[in-house]
Amino acid sequence: MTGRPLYVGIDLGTTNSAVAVFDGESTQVVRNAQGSPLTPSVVRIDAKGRVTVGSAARRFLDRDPENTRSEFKRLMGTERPLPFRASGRELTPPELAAEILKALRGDVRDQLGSLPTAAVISVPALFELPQSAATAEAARLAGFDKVELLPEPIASALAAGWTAEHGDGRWLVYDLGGGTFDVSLLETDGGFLRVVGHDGDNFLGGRDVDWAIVDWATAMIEREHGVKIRRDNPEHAAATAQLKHAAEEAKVALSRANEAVLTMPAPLEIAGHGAFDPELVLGRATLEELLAPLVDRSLEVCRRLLADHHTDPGQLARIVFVGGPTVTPLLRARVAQVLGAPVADGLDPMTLVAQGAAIHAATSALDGRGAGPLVRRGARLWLQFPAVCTDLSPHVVGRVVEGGSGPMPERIHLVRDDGGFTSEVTTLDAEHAFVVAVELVSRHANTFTIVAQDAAGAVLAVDPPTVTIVQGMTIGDPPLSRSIGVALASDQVQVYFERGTPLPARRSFTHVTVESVARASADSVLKIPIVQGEHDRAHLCRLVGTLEIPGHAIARTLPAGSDIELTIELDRGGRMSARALVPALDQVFEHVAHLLVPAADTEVLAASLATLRKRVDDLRADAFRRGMAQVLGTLEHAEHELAEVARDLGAALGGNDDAGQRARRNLLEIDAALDEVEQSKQWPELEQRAVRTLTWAGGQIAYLGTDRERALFEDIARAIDGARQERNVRDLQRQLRLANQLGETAWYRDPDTWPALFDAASSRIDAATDLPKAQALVREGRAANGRNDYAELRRITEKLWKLLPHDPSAQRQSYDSGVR
Amino acid sequence: MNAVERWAGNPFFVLELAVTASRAEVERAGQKWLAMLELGLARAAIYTTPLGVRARTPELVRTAMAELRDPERRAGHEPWCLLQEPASVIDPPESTASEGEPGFDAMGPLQWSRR
Amino acid sequence: MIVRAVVLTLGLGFAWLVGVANREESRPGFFGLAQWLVLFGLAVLGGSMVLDGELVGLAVLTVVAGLTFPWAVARTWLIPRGHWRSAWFLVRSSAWTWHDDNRGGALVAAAWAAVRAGGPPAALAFVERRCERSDCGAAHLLATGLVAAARGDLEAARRWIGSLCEFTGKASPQMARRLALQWIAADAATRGAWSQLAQLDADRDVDAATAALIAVARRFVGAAPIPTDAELETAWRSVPQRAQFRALLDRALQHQASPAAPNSVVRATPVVDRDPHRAALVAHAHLLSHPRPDRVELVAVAQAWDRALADQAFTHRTQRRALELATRGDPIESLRARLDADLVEVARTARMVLGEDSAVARGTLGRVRRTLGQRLLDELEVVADALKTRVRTRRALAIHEEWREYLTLRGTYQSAVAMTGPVLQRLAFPCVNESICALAVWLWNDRKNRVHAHQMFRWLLSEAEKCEDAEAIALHRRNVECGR
Ligand SMILES: Nc1ncnc2c1ncn2[C@@H]1O[C@H](COP(=O)(O)OP(=O)(O)OP(=O)(O)O)[C@@H](O)[C@H]1O
Ligand SMILES: [Mg+2]
Repeated sequence: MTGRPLYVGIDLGTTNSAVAVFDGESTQVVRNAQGSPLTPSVVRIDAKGRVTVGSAARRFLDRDPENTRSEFKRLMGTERPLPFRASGRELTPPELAAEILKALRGDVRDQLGSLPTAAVISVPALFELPQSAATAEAARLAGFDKVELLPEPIASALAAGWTAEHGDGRWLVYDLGGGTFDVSLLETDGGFLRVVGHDGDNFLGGRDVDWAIVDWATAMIEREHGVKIRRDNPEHAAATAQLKHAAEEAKVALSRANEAVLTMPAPLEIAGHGAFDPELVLGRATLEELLAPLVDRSLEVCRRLLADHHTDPGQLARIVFVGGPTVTPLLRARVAQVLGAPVADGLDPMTLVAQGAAIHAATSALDGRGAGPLVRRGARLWLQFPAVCTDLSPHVVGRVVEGGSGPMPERIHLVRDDGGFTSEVTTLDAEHAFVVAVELVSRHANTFTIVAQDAAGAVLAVDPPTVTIVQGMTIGDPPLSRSIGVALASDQVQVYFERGTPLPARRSFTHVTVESVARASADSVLKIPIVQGEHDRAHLCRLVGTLEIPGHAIARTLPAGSDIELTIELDRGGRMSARALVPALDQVFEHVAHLLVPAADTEVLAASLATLRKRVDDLRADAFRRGMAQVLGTLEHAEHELAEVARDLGAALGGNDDAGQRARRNLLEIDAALDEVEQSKQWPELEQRAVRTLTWAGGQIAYLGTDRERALFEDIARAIDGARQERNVRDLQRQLRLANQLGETAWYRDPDTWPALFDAASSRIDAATDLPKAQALVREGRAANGRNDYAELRRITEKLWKLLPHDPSAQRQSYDSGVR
Repeated sequence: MNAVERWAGNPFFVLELAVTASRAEVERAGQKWLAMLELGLARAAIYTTPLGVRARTPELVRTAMAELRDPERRAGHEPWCLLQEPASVIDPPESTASEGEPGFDAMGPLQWSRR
Repeated sequence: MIVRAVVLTLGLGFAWLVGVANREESRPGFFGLAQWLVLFGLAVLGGSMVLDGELVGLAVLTVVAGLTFPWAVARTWLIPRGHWRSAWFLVRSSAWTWHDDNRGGALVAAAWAAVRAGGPPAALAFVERRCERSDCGAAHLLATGLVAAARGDLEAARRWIGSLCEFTGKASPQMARRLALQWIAADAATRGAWSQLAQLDADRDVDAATAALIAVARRFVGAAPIPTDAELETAWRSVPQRAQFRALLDRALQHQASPAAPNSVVRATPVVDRDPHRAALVAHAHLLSHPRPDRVELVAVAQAWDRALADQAFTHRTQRRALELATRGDPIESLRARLDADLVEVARTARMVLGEDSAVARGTLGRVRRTLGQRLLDELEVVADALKTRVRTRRALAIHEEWREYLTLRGTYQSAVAMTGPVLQRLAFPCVNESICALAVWLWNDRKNRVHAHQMFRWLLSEAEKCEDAEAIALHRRNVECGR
């Protein structure tokens, strides 16, 4: 291949997408046909089936919403197709994204002359597997043969690090996009970039600013015109959309001006009020007021991230701003002031991500030009060297794979083209291979000529004749953004890949089945749920796929206790595959079911909202009783969030899928928070129970127990002490159960016990499953009690217990996992 | 066994680095091994550990690099790489007495197996 | 002539019907006797025909002989040749050999013949279908086990066949037990699992071949009573297949009888390095690369680490390094966690008995023991819970699969108890008790599989007695009483 390489990076955004190329030394943002570096992520299909994307489509967003789609990035990973009325077509989110990618690909060809076949596409750091897989699928549909996904913050950091002077330390990448907020803490050490951690809010972005302005505007309109425009009223939808559009324009304008007018293309039409044209002027001060709560929310996330990694905001070397809303000077100033760290300037927040992706394409050697024609001359070398590298003295490893026509090379050395460095002369080994260390000039493309000599010292021609290595900041392999593992039947997670694991990755573990799968049975199926998340309890993590071993697919019944060797594999593009080998059956199962974001089913959401509300109430009542102030704070926060979920749920009922997804995710988070509260209370409760149990059971055994029981009880009491010292919850629970049981055994010997138990049971017989039988038993019991026949009374009471409803047993939570 | 894999996969063994290796040395060694593996060079195919000789794979090398980039994890690996040479060289474990008598096919004569 | 033919046919048909109609529960032996009476009449008739010179009589006598000694015929002719259909048909139609369980016997015959024939799928499916449908006793389990063996699933076969000797009474015909023991013995001998074989009870009704194999095993292992040369010779003399075992007998005779060495040979601990950290690593490496590590070695490693962790130079070095790297966690703590994980894994894989003497309560070994115990209990609870959930949701399995599930849970419990001792047993028993009891009650009340339920109650009773769980003892006494 000749000429400069073409490394392509794409920022596939919710609102805007951008593409940049890197030639080994510098990045260049590719402009589209309209001359803009940004292409709105909007797709329109007209009645004739013609597809338009970008700003041409965006114009129709308000006018023709039925045939124009935007913000589909948020729906990536769900399978719901979006309809285009006029043409009757339906496109899934990846298909829509593919349209954008195709357009960007075309722009690269228009400007640089060749249609790229490989690219790096950035994805939000908190994307889960199904969403990443959908993105990779979109790239494939758009015609890319090879793609790699890169978390957006890493892309921004790479781009920022590439241009900035070396300065070691930690920095914060603050990425506020159209709808999501990501913040990442990175660290550079001797030019090596490392991700320390991320955090974010998947539902905070520029859009929220727009809505805040709209709310302000409707309040103004109500005050001045007496017209109440409601967002959730379908009749006001057109007016709301117009307002929102105007709000966004005004907001953008305020990045430069001090004042902006909300201008509507046409007067607002409100049913019952006719048309009117409100005069609304938005000032910087008002915007700042509206912006403040949103910025504070983002700052809260930043502080949490910094605290998690024991970093003081003042220690930050710099903050890199990414995303449209960060263009607003007010926002930048506020964030910088609150965190008290310097801002990296001279970087374009709108295209930084695309530039970083392009740089990463070079590290991954994803040359977009594809394979060029081969020009053969001399001995062919197969070379391995980093195209981009931070290390100042990397190795060039090579092997002569074909001698060509002339003699075989014997010795090799490399000479840097600026003449400043000549490597050691290396003799080829038995495999015709060599390893040569070279030295690079910092922040430059270094080209080396390969000098090959035969035994006599004559210089031979080799192909390729040179190698080029760029020195600069790199990040090794794309890291996994969230841990992936298998949910076990005990609701624990067997982690396969921890967060940060370099991709691709592959790991195997052996699991043991906990239940039998009957051959040829339709309802018998063993599930191996694969989950993603950082919680140690499986049901709090996100289910990203289930590997199933169904009864109808097995050759013979798979008994409980069988081994299953499970291998999970992730490729660089975020695709996961799993494979379960069952030695007992000598069969392999590879089908992973529903690798999708679960649809936000409003009924399910409403139900879990109700449960969580009840849990909050219960916990609060309890916390009040114990005076646990800090728990009350958490609960208040949870309550606030639940109110927000309720609002989203309302929107989801009106058909807003995005709000449904947000509700689902927030519910999971609240669930996790409440779990934590419960766990923090668990230990004191358990200790109290230990004291109670020991006193009660000890008393019973002292009076009514046998010698043997007394000895046993002493052992147990000692074990309980041990468990308390170790703060071992499970052990303590078990020992307490044992102590209780021993106490009960003694207690049952007491003649007074059974009449009391019988009375308690007979008072509940209204709930009995078989009332006549229960009534008969109660009569018998009374008679036995009258006779003082305690053995009989005991028998009757036990029978009665069987007729009374059970306590609802613990529901199996761990996604029905069938393995341990 | 997991325990064996954990130790045999110690990044310092995989990359053939000393405990004192700097961040740059880690990257350099990783890059070199990956390149050599890609070219299928015999020299890169195996490495030694206290638990014997192991096959080096690109996956292991990449994971090793990632492990050493993170100081937290690197600290976890360091105490385990003091011993570089195979333990068997230091003191070969005596061969355990075999279970004794080998089996005898009794299924055939008693007609419990296939004709 | 025609009258005779009709009488003969009717007679044979009747005899066959009587055999097939045989039921084990009602009037034991009745059908057998009835069948033999009819057959006797037919034999007299056939005999007189032969005396009259009528050759048809010979055919009648042959059929009568076949129906009178069906198992012998099947065992000698049909099974070795793999004629599974005719073996099944013949054994099925006799009410005698299998102690009235000729259904089970017929399935054993068919399954065995199928094994000989190399496991034709039709035969295996045939046996399996029938086994799944029945309330199987020992014979059915044997047939099921043989089917598994024919499929190559020896693990499952061992489970089923090995468990069948527990059955008592009507559910367990002597023939089934004998065959099962022979199979177990042959399988153990083939695997070379002599010590396991030596533990079999040779005094129980075993056949000559089994007894002889057990004798050989005792000789090899040195388990009491060690047979003398003469005893070995005698044992083999009564085995029909002795010619084929000559080589084995010779090996046994050559083997010097010596009582088994005690199990825990103290192995020399590896060289002690002057640096305790290094010494610990060396010991650790030994343990991990050992194919069959034992408790002594594990204890040595744990103590080596205890010494290293008590060594100030080492801990200072580690902590200083952690400071240099600016890590947050306690480096010694994380080293300890990793160490514990390794040792727990080794102890588990090798099924080590860690014991509970107070000497191991402290230090690394104590932690390992506690962690291991907790982990085993956790797992046991998960498995027991899964079973309980299945019973509650009434997802039934074929009865032999239910039995296997019970065996698995019981096995998990037993090995956990063996590894960690009686304290754990008392903690583990309640959850096992609850699940197995629920299963047994379900089998007994709703599914009428009394045989298995009874066995389960018996085992629960014996465990409850070991744990001195008064409640459970009382409960299972009653349950076992019901099954008598
Ligand atoms: N100059 C500006 N000043 C203020 N806000 C702006 C400006 N330009 C764009 N925005 C806002 O930025 C948002 C889009 O930002 P951006 O293009 O970074 O998002 P995105 O990358 O598409 O989203 P995401 O990163 O969440 O996928 C929109 O809400 C838009 O209104
Ligand atoms: Mg963005």
